[in-house]
Amino acid sequence: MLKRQLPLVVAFIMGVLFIVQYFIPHQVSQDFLTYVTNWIRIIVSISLLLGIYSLLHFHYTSISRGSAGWGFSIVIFITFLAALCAGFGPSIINWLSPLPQPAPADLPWYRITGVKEASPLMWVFNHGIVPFSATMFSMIGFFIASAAFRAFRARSLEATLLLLAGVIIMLGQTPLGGMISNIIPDGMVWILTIPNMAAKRAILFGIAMGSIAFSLRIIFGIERAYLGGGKD
Amino acid sequence: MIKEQKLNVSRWIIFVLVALAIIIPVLLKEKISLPETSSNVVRNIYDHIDSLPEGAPIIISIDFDPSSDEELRPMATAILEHAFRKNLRVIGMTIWGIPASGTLIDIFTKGAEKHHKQSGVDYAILPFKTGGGVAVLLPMSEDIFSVFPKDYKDNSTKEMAVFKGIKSLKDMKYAMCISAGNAVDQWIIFGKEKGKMPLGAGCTGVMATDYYHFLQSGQMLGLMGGLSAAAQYETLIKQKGTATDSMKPQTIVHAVIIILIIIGNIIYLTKRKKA
Repeated sequence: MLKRQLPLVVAFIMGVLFIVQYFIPHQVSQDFLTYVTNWIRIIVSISLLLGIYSLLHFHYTSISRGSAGWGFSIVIFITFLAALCAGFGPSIINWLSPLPQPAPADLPWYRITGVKEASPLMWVFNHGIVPFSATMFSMIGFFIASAAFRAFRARSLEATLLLLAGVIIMLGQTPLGGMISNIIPDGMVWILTIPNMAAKRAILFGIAMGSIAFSLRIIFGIERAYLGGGKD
Repeated sequence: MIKEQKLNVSRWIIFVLVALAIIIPVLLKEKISLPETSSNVVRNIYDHIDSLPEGAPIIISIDFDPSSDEELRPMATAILEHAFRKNLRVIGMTIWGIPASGTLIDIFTKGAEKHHKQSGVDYAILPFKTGGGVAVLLPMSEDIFSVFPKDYKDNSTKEMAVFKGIKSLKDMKYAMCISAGNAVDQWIIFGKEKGKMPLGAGCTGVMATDYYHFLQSGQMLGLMGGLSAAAQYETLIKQKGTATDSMKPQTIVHAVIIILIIIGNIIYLTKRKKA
């Protein structure tokens, strides 16, 4: 009863309340929204712990079973522990230290990210995450060039149209298109605002209708997959 | 085996060509000049910000992390430069997470330093809160202070001069979301829908195609897609920056890729004819 019926009742009540709240511009309605969104923020924060557990469990299983690429799972554990030490290490050392510490509120980075500007975690961020992320993203350019050479072929009418559209967009995105002919930037705008928009809008309508239908199924208890596969 | 070897050789030749197409224009950037252009979708954003009276409040959401920094930071910097020049009140925020918070604070403090703007008076930076559109933008459209009672320095937002006369997103004269993910969608669904303020968006070049229909429906007044849009904005505000410089290697790389596609197709068609 509690495992099945209670979540369905909560989903129904909250679903209906949120729909009604949206259309009532009253203070009580606004206070309700503020109150409930505070819950959402707390729940989302807690879900971070679930995310960490899920990540570590997945990679632990990968190592214990010796799955393909299990070595990378060890890297995950090492970097996770290193980031953990970089984040909590200074606080633990400061806590154990008998010397007085500066107020963290004076440091702007502390307030927005929860870490100090010159802390080991910010060092990891600035000298690890920033260059690694930029490098990963930059490498895409090389692979796109290689893939375009090998795969972007005029094999059929549809492929030829796609090829032409791609070339016009690529040229139109740079001043090179305008230097060749004004038709190219104009053609780019036409492709983006007519055929592209028609296709995107159709997809978006489909997604929106599907989302509404799915939400209604959850509110009325027809869709129960989110409850998991446990028995009553 | 031979086919695989050929493929590897051609791949490495392409990598070298792309690397040269980037390195040479970077080294010779002073000697290369490209024509300055501006599209209507970028100009609409410029015109709107330019038309705002002094002291009008606007909000800029910095929703990208280091992987898209090179493409989107010039856009954010140019918009902020324009806003500070116009003496607008600027609120900075993010729904993208901790990495974006670092970028947000960096862009705002550098821009404010340049224009001698004061935190809490001319601009404010709001701390990151989890929950994205539903838990942050939706309640902001009713009451900003319920979500952000304090700024990133722990000062009460209600008492700040920069928030004078502002209660919710409805009081904003413009909102700009610069995003590398789905933050633009969230701003449209949860921010714009109830806030009703004019909304503009900036995104990476590959994402731009996803947002054109929001322009036609009037849900967005302008769109900046990738470095090329940032370079156009730099031209409009007459301040050439990193986007203008970066357009040089980008233009050459695009040309190289197009040449490679043409060569690939010539080889393919020749082989097909022979077969």
